[in-house]
Amino acid sequence: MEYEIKEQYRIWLASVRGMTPRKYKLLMETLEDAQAIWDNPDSAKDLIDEKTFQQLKKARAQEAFIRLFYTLDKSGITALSSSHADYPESLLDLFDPPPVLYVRGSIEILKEEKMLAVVGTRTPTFDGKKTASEFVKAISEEDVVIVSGLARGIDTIAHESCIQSGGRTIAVLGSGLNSMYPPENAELCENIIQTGGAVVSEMPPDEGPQKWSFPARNRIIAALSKGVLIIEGKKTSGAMITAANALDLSRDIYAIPGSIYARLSEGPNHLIQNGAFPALSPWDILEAERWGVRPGEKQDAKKKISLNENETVIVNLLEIQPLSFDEISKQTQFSSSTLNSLLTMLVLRGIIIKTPGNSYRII
Amino acid sequence: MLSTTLSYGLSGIDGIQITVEVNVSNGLPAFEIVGLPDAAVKESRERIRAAVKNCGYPFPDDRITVNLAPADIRKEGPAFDLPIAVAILACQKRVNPNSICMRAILGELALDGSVRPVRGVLPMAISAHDHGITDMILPKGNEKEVMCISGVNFYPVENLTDVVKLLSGEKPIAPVETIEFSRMIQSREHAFDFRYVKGQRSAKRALEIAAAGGHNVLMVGPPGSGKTLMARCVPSILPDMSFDEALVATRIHSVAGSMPENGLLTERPFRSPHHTASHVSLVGGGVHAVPGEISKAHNGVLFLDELPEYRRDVLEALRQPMEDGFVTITRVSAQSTYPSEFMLICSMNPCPCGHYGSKTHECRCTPNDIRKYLSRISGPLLDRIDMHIEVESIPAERLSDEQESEPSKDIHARVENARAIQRKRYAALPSLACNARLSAQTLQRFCPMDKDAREMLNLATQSMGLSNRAFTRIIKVARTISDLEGKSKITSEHIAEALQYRAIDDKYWH
Repeated sequence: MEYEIKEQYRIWLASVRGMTPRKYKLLMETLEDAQAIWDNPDSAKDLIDEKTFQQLKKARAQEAFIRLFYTLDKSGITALSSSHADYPESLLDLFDPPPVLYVRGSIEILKEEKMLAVVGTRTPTFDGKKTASEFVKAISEEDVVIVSGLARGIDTIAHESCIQSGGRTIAVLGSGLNSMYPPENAELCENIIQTGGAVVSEMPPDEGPQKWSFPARNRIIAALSKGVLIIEGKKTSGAMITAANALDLSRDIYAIPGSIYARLSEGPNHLIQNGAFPALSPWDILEAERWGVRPGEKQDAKKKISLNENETVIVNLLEIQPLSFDEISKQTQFSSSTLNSLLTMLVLRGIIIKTPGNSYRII
Repeated sequence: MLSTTLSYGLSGIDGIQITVEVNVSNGLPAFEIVGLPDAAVKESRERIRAAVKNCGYPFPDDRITVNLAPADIRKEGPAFDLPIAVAILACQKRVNPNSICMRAILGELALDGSVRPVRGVLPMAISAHDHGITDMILPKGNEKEVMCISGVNFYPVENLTDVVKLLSGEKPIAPVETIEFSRMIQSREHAFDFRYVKGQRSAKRALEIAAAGGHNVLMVGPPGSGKTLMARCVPSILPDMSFDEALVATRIHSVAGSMPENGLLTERPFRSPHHTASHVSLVGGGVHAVPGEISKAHNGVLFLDELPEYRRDVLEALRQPMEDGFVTITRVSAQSTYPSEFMLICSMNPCPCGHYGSKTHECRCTPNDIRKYLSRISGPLLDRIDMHIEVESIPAERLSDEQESEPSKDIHARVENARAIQRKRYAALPSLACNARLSAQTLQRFCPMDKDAREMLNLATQSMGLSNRAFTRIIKVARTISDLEGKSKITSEHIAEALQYRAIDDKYWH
């Protein structure tokens, strides 16, 4: 990737250790040009704190400069400074837009109009996983780009489901692009790039994850998207930070309602109470954003499954709520051996599913 | 002057006959023991000298040579004190030498001449019986061990004077009364009974099947769900021991020096070594190659609580004995083979914090943590466990409204029936005691399936992605389920139920 001279200096300036978006913004607004700072670093002395200034002087070396661009080149990373034409405009809505966005994969995708962020807990429930995958599949089929944070749980499911249904997705990392976190998602990261998506970060490539870097990247997720869908999360979760960011940026907020007793539905329920849009189906979002039109009600969408008398009893019970073996046994009074074989039959036929804790639920 | 008598030593769980020869001849006073004695045997010189003197008999001031024959087997322990002392007295004509040459004598001497109990008396007595010995003198403290053996007169003695008086006919001692085995089996009263386990219907059913077929079981569940309690209940539903089984089990415990109060193990042993257990304590060994926990659990249950906490090498050492049903321990001084046919019951949490899949608590573990935790148990070990069952956590409020469950007695009756069917079926194959021991070849022969069952198994193999090993396990367990119902063929219901017991193979663990 060829960079303009001015662009090069901006990228260099942003990569200085301790250079926060605010300091960068201040420098650029006052001194107007990054090259001027390279030429005369002392001009920045009064504008930034001593520590950062020392770092700046340390980084002002030919060697460091070359190394920075060598790393970018070698890792296939494109750096976009906030003044670059390809820099996503939506990020400029932020009070503190990332000075430089590091991108692997498609750059064009960052300019997409139709983007939805899907965020949620790292430890989703069965229902949470199901919701995430169903919603993302339906929405990405309408050519909407799904944005998420590549974290464990809902984020991972959102990216995976999007790729599965042939959609494109953007992952915003809380670490540098060369230091994957969580490490098990390295393969998913490559998949995202190969399927036309992008992996982005505001941190220089080799920087590791920091405690503060995850909440910080949430603002990028919110800013990139037109709307944010919160699937599950506690009141104090990262997903709620993303929602708060989205609110500041006047993005649309969608939440999946849940039981008032479910701890992981605390967050979304709270958002709905405060005016978020309750999403009961993917079409609620697609219609609200005018991204798609709800198809006509299908007649009897469910396949007719023939069940015998005993199986019907079990299926009817499980349709209300998931139950453990003991609970089913107690409510039906089937003997353990009968119940065991009935349940296996239903599992094999794909009507119910066994989940951890010896419990069963309808698929 | 020469006199001989008989005694017994131990090799593994078998008694070996030792001839004790004592020669007292003129010469400088000396007391030598030859015939590969170990330290405890050599020290017996001092005990014997003191005991003889303290009982009021003169100790010869001559050259005494004791030979323990056969001379090439290492002799251990203090059991030879009494026979040597008696033989020395025989040399001095205090005791009639002819009265002792065909008798077997066992016992450790105290300095005051009283006789202390020794370990391993039961296997020694059995060997004596097999060798046609009719009279055996043994410590009074060991008399209960031999109560079940008929055909040999056992004379329990308390001190050296007793022995002298018994042999001279001065004060006869009544031989130990034999008791019929059936009288020794007490009423089946167990401290742990399934009656008191509330809920847990699926786990109880699974344990019933496991007991009926002798299958190894792995219980997976959150802490406090009752895994340990249920494991302790298992002996109460296992089939009663036969006399031969009880004898073998008791022999092992006799050798290990952990004899039960009443002398014979009538209940199947339940061993639960702590997870810090070493290789030697579990498998057996040590300087004297003593039996380990797996042998002490022979014909009973070996319970490993918190399986992933055990040292990996210790667990791996279990594999071979589990397969063979015996373990051979080789040491410099001895090589011993101990039987080790046990039913393995293990328990573990589903994840490091223990609450994965629990309804009452939230799990704090990452998928990576869970994977790491589960991988502490090796595949080969898991392959030897036929049934993996999930134990669910029961919220406290549900405990109170559960009615009392089926007592162990009733489950035991069904298990006995199923075992009787198996014994009949495998009568021609002595190495095959229960369904769990079916091999690939015998599986074909003894597990006929009807058409539906075969189809179901094929369907399951495809949709669940069963491995070959899992496949065999399911058939074995299905065989036991059909035995419990008294059916000769395996039907699709049996296969369907057997498919439930493979929690660890399920996808969500990986």
